Amino acid sequence: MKKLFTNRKAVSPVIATVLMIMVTMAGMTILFGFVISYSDSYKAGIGTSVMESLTIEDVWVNGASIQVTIYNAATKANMGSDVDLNVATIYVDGLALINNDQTSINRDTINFNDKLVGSGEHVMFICKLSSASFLLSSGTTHDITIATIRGSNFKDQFNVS
Amino acid sequence: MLKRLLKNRKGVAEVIGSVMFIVILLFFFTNVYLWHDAATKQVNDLYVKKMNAGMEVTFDSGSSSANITAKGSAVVLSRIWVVTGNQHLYADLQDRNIHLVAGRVAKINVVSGALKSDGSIQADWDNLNYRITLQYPIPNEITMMSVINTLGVIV
Repeated sequence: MKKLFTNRKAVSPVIATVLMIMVTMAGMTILFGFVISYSDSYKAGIGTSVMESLTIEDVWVNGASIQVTIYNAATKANMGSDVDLNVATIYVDGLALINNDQTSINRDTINFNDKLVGSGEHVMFICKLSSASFLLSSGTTHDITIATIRGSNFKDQFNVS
Repeated sequence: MLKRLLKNRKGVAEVIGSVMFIVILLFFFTNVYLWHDAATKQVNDLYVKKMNAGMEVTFDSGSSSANITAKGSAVVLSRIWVVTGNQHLYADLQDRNIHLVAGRVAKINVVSGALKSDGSIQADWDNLNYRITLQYPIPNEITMMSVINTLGVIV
């Protein structure tokens, strides 16, 4: 036994092999972790854009203010999983709307981006036109597009009463 | 020749390494592809449900009442929007759990009553008579009514 410990022949190849295995395992662990986190962030981010389902349920032009109400139909009951979304921008006839900082009747103003539209939720956005020269006169029909942070676009038309 | 080839172990590690690398790459792409496939299928299922969940609303502004019928499959109502000359108001129905059976007509009656504190309309569901009652201060003011179900279909 004593002879075995004092004999140092072939120790170097053993250490080299152990080191090689350790380096390989560390490398594979880092690579695997990166791949998993990359695919997870893809699934949670832009990959989920295909699962977003939004309905523009009402658009009300009230003077200079435009009240847009949306419904997120991507619920577990409807399609097997809940998918929340964030509205990035709302466009009317290609012109981006801006937030209206005033408050409406007993409802708080909701800012774009910082309000999560949870699955099965109805959310109202109170906006105004970014250009005063662009008017929505009554009896006219306009296009509305809602863009989400993940990159989905939802289009509809509305009439100004 | 074959015996010699099998005995020669030079380059075996490189082959094993390459195979492992390809297997890892395949694992990654298969994982993302299968997930994307499943996600697309879920959305397609929702589109099919939406296509089969047609509704019809007939509104008679003179009588302040409307009829609603599920034309395809049974639906669960989510909201009723009421448009007057100068206002767009809604009545939340999701907590009322209104299941409309396909083909059966549900009546919407608007009676005179105050709005709720949040500015929305009070709605009550009478399951026995299949009737939704909305409370709005001046029922004759209503010019349009639209209904949205939990699948996101709006009529």
